[in-house]
Amino acid sequence: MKKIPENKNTSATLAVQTEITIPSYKVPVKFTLSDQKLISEMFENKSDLADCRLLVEYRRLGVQGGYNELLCLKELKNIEKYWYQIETVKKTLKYFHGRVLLADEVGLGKTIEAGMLIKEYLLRKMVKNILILAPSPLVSQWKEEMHQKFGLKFITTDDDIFQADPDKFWNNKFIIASINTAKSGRNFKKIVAKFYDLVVVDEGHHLKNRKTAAWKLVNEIKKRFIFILTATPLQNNLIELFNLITLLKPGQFKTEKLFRQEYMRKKNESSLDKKEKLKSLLRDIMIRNTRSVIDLKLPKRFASTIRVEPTDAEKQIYDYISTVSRDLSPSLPANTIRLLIREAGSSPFALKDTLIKLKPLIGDTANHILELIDKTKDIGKGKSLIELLQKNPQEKKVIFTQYLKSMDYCISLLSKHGIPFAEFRGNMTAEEKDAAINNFRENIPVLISTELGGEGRNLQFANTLINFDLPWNPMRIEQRIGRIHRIGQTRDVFIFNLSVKNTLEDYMINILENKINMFEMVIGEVEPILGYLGEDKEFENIILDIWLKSSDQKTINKNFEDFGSKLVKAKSEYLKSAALDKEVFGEDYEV
Amino acid sequence: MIDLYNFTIKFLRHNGAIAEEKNGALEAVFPADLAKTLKTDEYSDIVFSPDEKNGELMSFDSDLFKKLPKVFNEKGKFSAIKVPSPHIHIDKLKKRITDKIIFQNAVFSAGENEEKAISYLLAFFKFTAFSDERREGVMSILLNEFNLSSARFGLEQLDDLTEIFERPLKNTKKMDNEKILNALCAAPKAIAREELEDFIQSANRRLNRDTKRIHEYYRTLIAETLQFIEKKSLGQKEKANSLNKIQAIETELRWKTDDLITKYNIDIRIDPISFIRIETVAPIFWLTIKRRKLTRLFPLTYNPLLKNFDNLPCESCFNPGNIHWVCDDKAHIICDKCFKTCPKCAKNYCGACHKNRCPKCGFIDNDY
Ligand SMILES: [Zn+2]
Ligand SMILES: [Zn+2]
Ligand SMILES: [Zn+2]
Repeated sequence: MKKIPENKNTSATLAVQTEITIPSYKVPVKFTLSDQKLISEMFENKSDLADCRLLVEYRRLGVQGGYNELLCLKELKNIEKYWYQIETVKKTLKYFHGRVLLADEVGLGKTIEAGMLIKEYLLRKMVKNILILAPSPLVSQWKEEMHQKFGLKFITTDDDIFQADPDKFWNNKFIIASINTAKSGRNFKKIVAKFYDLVVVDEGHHLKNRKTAAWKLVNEIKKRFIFILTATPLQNNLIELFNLITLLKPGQFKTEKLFRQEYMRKKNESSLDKKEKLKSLLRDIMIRNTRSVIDLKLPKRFASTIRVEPTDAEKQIYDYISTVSRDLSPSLPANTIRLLIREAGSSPFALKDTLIKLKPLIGDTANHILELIDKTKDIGKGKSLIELLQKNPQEKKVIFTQYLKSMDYCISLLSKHGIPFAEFRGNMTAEEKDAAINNFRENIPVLISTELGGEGRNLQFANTLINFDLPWNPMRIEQRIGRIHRIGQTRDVFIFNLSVKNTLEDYMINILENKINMFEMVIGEVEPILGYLGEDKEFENIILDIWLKSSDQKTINKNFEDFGSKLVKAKSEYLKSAALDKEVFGEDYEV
Repeated sequence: MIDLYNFTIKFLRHNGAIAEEKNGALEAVFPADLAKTLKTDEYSDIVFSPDEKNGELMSFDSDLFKKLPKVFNEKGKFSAIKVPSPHIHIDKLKKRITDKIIFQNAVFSAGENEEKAISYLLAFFKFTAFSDERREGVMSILLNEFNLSSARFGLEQLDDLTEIFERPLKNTKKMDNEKILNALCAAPKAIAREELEDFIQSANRRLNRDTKRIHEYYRTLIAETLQFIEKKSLGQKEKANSLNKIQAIETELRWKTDDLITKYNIDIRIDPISFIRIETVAPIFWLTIKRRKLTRLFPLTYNPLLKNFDNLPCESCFNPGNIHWVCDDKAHIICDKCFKTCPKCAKNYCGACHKNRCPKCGFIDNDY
């Protein structure tokens, strides 16, 4: 391009500028042929003419013409796929050529859409390397979903391999990176030096500001396809949307200045023409399915938490574990500490095995706790659980627990009280699992289940959920709820949480329930809210830190209170932008 | 082109199964080994609609369809047939040579003629083009193994050759294998390019639409910066800053353009499917071609399958074509596309001698 001369008379330069013709380009074409040896070997086996004809006919029939039949559908047998998701995938392939703003309202499964697209592109061999950028708290979630639902193995910036050799890490083909990590100086350079067939940005509204390193990173990455996922594309104003679109299709809306002139001046704002023009430009890059058009109206949901009084022994055990954890936390890996406290929160029985393993580190105290556990026959949660089950015995109820030992306790408890139940465990075979679910649906009032996790088994024929314990990850809690509160559920849904007073779960459930009212939110809303937290740590690590750093009740209270306020703020920001999106986009961008 | 239903019938019967038509489905009895390979029952219905529950589903993405290559195994990759030559009036034919053959830059005379056993190779390839879209297809070419001339020839045209010649042909004349192989690898490229014409055009169109958009975008940014310089009474330093900014914008425009070009890059994979060698007896007319001081002999063949003369070959791309040149150095016969004109220095050169590199200035022409 010609260099702009330094000229006093700049308007003359301007005139010259606009007259410069835009060069025309040609797409480079490269051929890859089977090697000559393979070709000459074909002459070695002589067959009938009829075989040759059939083979050619077979290959001609097998040629994949368009995108009318998605290849991924057959591969994804274990997840539910809805028509609007399938349409979204087709539309992205066919009309958007793989550059799209996926802006479905929460709870409609943007991740599923992105996963289906990833799978489809891989099956069509159109994509070889993939970079997924997500806020830190969602990185492991992505990894798990890609693996469980789509059978794709990604490595992440959470993995040890990244810590071990960050430079080499970026050479991998399937990467999920925390956007914060990726945008930092050294990684930034590594990433933009490569070419990615596909880049996926989750919670894309964090790219609203063009001055941020995150925006610059995504702008500079060399890529063929890009999906930006967000439930709230608009945020505060049109400029932020403009910035998002510029990443997908630079120049779609010309420059920011022109965009402001055209769409954001007072006199233009209400002009119908402008609105229509904006809409039609947006329609080229955005898909936004809404609950109302999908007609996703679910029955109501009611949640209550039963704060259980611990037995003396339980209280002693939990206090011991808390103290031991605080003492050992500088020297033990965070995972181990977290496991101890999580197990203790579920039931003393869940704790036992880990404790035995850690005995050499903990010393005599461990023996003492183990003795206490062995003496324990019943726990506070047990009584509450039986009370819940004995109410409305004809209603089907699902009990969720994270630990097999807690599950065993529930089993013995129910057996003792003569309550029939079905069991669902992660380590059962697929047939056993199917049989358990069928049995529960047809004959038995209670299902005791470990985490169903990514498995798409749905229990909408039940309407009562009992959380015997609670994962420290709100999205996981949502997943549990989602198993019964979903399309197909016709009755109101009841959720009961059991938490032992003054345990970590007790505090956690308090902020989730009383501060942000999580149990009544639409499923999927937790994710963007956590995104708005602006924290680099995962939720479970945040609460673990609070717990370990606070040595007395008062400090714990205060710190959880503070964290609760942050969540409230994040939720209100989320709600504000969701409302704005609804107002501006309405239902104009559905598939 | 045969449809899936009729293909299935043909396929099953060829492989020893009984297949009876029944209301759009098939009632089939499989030989034991076929049933085993396809993992079906020996008595089994084949249905063609996913709504039909009672039977094995045959559709383009059904398991059954995907299992068929196991039945082919190594079969179908190569076969050879013999086709009789029609009776031909040689003298009449000879008179038509001058109408048929034209060199853009050389003269020729037709000399001796003879009848010889020669062979054609009907070669089928699959092409798959990847860009931001994907397109695949099956193409075929008929290659004369004696003089490497080529023609488009489809599977269906083979149906016309019902009479199959069982008399053994003696001394079938062929080019040496390496040259045949070389032509066999070159020809599909040009044909794939033709088949993918609209695909490539569409990528070009979209690339240019996108580059236009970003050029306009960045140029408006530059213009806006210039306006800014004009409006404010700026100090030397601020002015320098703004001018630096313009340079930065230009750099960004450059790599954004490169990025777009990479985004649309087209990769075309070509895989052989099947080769059918067709042996026949054909009249051959020896042409003496003269270009400046060079002369060469070329055997023009009458093609009994096409019932016409074979085109002259392009000894660079081996693509069938009508316009032919002769090169100055080695008297190669080359097509119009392969008689290149360097986009940089305008030198004409032969693609068979120099591929796509200009012998004068060294410029490599990637867009032949
Ligand atoms: Zn040529
Ligand atoms: Zn030459
Ligand atoms: Zn040249």
